[in-house]
Amino acid sequence: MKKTIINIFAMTGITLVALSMIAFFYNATMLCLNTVFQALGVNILIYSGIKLISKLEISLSLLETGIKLIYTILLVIVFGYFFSWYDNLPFPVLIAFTVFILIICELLDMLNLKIKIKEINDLIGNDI
Amino acid sequence: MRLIMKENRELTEPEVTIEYNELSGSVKRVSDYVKSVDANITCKKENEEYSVPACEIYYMESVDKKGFIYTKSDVYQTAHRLVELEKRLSGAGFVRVSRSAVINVEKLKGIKNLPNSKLEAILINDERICVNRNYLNDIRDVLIRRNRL
Repeated sequence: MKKTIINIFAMTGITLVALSMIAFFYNATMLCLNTVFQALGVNILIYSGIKLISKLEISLSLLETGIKLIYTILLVIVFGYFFSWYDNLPFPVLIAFTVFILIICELLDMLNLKIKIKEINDLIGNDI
Repeated sequence: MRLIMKENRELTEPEVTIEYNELSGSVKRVSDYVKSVDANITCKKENEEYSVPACEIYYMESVDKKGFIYTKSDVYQTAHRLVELEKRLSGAGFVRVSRSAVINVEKLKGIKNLPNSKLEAILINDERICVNRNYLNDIRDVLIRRNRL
């Protein structure tokens, strides 16, 4: 549970930093408080959905990644409509931004995985 | 905890006696481990019944709702469900690595990360079992508990 909360807040932090960079590019000077909570809410749903998809244990890893990507993009599109994100951010930019965040999270996940595997192999006493 | 081992050739099988001043968590762990290690699983091979000791099992798998037990060089079929076997042998170092496989960490040589983002467990007989990343924490925890014993 603790790890889940940390991961969600980390994703939200990365989202807000990336969003700030895009906003800066569009000459914006501030982010609204609403945006922070919207980002947190959407990240909670994204993280929960991705966890559920992982539990399905789909044998083809590319297919699993594709499903996660489609799920995330659909979620962002739906919430973008409800929170009027398209008023301030072009649709292609929002999608590219979503994919970028996912790539960052996937890279962090891969790094975490390597650390865990090394830890396990060290406990066994073998270097594979 | 002190470990005292004594050879006694008069015994017909190994005997484990645990002396304790207090039934602590670590004493219970040692007791559970000994009970599980000595467990035998009833299974079948070519219509004959066998009782396979847990320490000889490399891994267990569920395929088409049938349970299979793999030792170094044999495969047996079992009527027990994988969930049941996993629970019964968890104290002996058996851990789930995917929805359909449970391995004995005593037979684990290592975990390998494959280029296609898949993971596989390599056993000491060089057999390879697919591992789902969701179970890595469990594998690590079992190894930590084993190393503490």
